[in-house]
Amino acid sequence: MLQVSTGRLINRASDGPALSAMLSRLDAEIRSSAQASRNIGDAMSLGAVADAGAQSVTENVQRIRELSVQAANDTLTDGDRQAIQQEINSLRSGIDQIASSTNFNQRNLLDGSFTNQNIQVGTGSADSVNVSIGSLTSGALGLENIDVSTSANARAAITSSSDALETTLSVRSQVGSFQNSMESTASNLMSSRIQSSATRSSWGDTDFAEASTNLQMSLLRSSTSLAALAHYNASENSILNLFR
Amino acid sequence: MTARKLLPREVARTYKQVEIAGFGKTDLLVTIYSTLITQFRRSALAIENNNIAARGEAVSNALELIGELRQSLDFHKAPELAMNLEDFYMTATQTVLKGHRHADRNSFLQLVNEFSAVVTAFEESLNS
Repeated sequence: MLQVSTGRLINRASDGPALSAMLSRLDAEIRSSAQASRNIGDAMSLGAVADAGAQSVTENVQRIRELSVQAANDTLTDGDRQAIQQEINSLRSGIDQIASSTNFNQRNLLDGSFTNQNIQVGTGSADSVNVSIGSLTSGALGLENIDVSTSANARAAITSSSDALETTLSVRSQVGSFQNSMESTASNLMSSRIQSSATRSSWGDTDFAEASTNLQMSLLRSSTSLAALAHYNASENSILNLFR
Repeated sequence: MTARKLLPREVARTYKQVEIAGFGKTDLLVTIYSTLITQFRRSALAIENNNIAARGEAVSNALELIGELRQSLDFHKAPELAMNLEDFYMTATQTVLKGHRHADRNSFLQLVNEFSAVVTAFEESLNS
């Protein structure tokens, strides 16, 4: 009866030991790869948060650089430079505030403490990615004592803020490269799982519409009770935990 | 002894617990799909509002739900359908991760459409 409803000849181990073993292996693989997918998703969230924080720091540093250029102009009065210094101080505080408050899952990301962290991105013990994110505090950026009270100091501030800009761009590039590596890891995870399933003779680029159409046709050929049967291991308790 | 007043979240959870306890597998499936579609919509909205924290939370919930669906598949009980469902869930996972990485609202809207179509197929199949 099940053979007719599923359209497949293999339903029991005795029907085809090799295929049955492969299906059992697939079950085990799915459990591990589902967790790895969640880890990658979390890692991407971490990357997105770090990047947004780093972008804000970069904007502040760019503004500090603009103000330093403005302050280096000898036509300004001391009063003008004081006003500029106040804005720079406020931007510098903003940088420290961003660096100390940008966190993911209660872990600070931009204060230099997020170093040498392992993200498990695959099903094997060696499938982990090590990530470190550089510090973007005003101290680490060399902006702690930035001063534009004279045109000579302002010229030095241009150099400091240019160096700080390079540092922020370097951290952003570090984060971007981590995000790219997560993306390619995600795609490798899919393709390795697909190859090992050995149920498909060829598999090109993933086409969501095609996968969806195949599934809908498969559902139309079967019944809802069969769809429930296909999700036989769904448990009320584990699913309940997902409702937040 | 005075009973502790339940927090709104606990009330909702208790209600859900009672509701789910009476579910058959089909009801569970439809509920999970509906919750998943809600998470995709939340992700799309979070991208629209540039709310990274909300996006991360919705994506995390969505991946957890898809992971649960994948892990519940039984390849021995309904091999062909389970295989097609696994393909569908893997592609969905890939689309979620891609949409999350590039903050691509359209990826999440596509997920809403595809999962809604499958729910409709469930329902049509149920009524036939």
